[in-house]
Amino acid sequence: MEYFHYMLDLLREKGSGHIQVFAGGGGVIIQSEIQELTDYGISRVYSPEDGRKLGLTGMIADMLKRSDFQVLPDKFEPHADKLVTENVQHIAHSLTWIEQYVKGSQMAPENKVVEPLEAVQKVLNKLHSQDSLVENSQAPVIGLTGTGGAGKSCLADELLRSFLEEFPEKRIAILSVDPSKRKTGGALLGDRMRMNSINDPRVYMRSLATRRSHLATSTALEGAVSLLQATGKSGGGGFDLILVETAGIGQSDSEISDFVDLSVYVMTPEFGAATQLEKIDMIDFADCIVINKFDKPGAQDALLAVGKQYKRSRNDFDATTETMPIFGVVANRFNDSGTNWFYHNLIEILIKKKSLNWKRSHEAEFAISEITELIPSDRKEYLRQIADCVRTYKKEIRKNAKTAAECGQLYGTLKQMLGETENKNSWNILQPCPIENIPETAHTVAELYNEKISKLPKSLRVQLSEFHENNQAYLGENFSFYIRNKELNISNHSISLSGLKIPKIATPKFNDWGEIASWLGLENFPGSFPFTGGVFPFKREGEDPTRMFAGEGIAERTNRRFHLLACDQPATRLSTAFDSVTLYGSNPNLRPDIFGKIGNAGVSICCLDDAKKLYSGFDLSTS
Amino acid sequence: MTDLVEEAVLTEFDRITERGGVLGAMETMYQRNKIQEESLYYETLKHSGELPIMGVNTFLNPNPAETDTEIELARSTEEEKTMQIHDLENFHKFHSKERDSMMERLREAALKNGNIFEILMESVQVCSLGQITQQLYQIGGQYRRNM
Repeated sequence: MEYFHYMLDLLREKGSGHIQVFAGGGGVIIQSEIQELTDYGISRVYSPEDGRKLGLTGMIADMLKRSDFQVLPDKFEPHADKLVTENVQHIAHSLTWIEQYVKGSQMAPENKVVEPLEAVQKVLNKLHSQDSLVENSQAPVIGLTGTGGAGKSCLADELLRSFLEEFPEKRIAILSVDPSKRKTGGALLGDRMRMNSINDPRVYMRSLATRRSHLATSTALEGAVSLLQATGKSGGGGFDLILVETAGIGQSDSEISDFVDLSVYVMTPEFGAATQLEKIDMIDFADCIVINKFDKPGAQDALLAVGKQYKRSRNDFDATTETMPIFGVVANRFNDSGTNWFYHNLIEILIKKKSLNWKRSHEAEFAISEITELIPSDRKEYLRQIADCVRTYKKEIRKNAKTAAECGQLYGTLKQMLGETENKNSWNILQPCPIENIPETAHTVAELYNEKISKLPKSLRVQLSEFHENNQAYLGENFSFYIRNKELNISNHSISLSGLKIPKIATPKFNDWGEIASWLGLENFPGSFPFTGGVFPFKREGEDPTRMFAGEGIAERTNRRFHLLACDQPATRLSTAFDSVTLYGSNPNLRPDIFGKIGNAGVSICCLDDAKKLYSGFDLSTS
Repeated sequence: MTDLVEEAVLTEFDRITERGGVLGAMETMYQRNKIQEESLYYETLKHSGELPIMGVNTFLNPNPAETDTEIELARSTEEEKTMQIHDLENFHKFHSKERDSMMERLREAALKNGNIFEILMESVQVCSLGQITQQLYQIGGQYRRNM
């Protein structure tokens, strides 16, 4: 409740009351709360009832319908004196304005088409009529381009983080261009979701759609960049660096290098054959080439191939790996040495190229991300190894079962041939038959028996011979076994209301050796390998009380609850629910979005003292 | 039944390996997709009524208004929330001297790929949860969602 109020208040405070807020949940928000929320300004709260009536597609359609409206205020035009970093709203509106009215935009009404640069120029001319826009602007522009999925957003985020840390005064703007789809005309502007560092007042981030599916760069982009560069030119805050990230859709999108100061091409080691590189325009144009996901197989070879292509395209055959601006990085790895080195060089090149007077504090050494892998290579296929192991085992069991069945049949034959009386002191079951002691007529059978039995593993022979005896143990009154050196005696039966003795363990009834061998290998008694029936021979009698689950308010309150739950119980099984503030690793705070969640749906624990209070009076060190 | 489940698990292992192990499969979001697909299928069945669930898509309560009674909810009080914040402030004040050096040690351990857990065991004595997570976010960034 507090959170929604807070969110709406904040949106209105920032002049963004037009943003629609939707909510939904599995019924945590009760009917009276839904009413209150919609009264306050939430567009719609989707309740389980709605889900039933509308279904998923219905809810999606409803949301889209409610969100489809013009966001720009009537007759909006950018004003140079309002274009300052402090006025985010105006920048945003201006960008939308450019996007809507530039030539080629699908959204532009026909009579209001404007050339992108012209449009910005016109606005700026009102105040800076003598200045040419492009010369006037100082903020360098870095263009980041590359194939889809190469990790541009990820890399951009890392660069951003490093930049913000190194230059605590500087401001940065990011334009992310994502492709529009030809069929639907829609675009998934997903980059913001992957960028964590944009959550900083010194960062302005905007997603743009290309509006034309076959091009990686948006027509509006040029205008947008100029506009951002113009920001702050009439006093107030401006941006120190502009990062443009474009949709990577093909091999020939070098358009971006036309209007940025420094272009970076991001790729992965998986580009196909080396000849494919010849087709990539950007290798010829880019100032830096980054091979991301350098932990993939073949990364070193990729670096070599890209290096060759780089040398060819620039006729610079003396360049070495160290001097070429080609970087091997793993952008999504913590503290990655390759990424650090790349960032260091990027800014270095930028400073040189634009003769900036930035003071650097960042240090890095030449490095290409090593291929230290999270999972050692011999463990890569661990799951398959497990699967293989299980399958091999089962095959072995089936093979042994077949042999055991044959042994059993031969044993039976021998027994019949020799007659019960002679069998008495002849030989032990599953041991080689002493051929010298039996009549000659049975020799061939006995030899065959001995041969087969020698093929059975010794352990299986022991198991088979002990099987019937083990079976007996479940037929008596009690079953005794040891757990942690403690002897447990458990009744083999439970007695039904009508006095029937129902065995707890149903033992196999078969006599065939093959069946037994297969059962021993695949199922066996509970508490015996392969533990199909459980790791213990029996379920314990006198079950412990259920787990004592609590978590509400502050530590003291939950502690009281724990004591109530554990009171007079033979054993204590505490289980704690933490509130979402704690789960997300935040501290309790007066900020309404956090405040509302403190101690709700779980207990608030933010320091060691709280944890001590939470379990006070319980001995956690003995089991 | 056991055999069926076992074989299904093993085949799933094989599929994951084909996608380059658990990490490789995560990159293409194989596991996530699989779960999403199944839950979408379930929702579709529920919505079309093919899977009848009492009270959800069949045998609905004909008088829903009558059931709208007050249920006591376990929610924390204003007082508790304020107290929690107050206690935290005290904790911060009480340990204000030791905090910075501990934070620095944590930072160093993280950046030098040292054993963070060892330092964490000491850090919790003087730092609060939020302070520790903030410090770690600053050094290493936060989880980037793969969409």
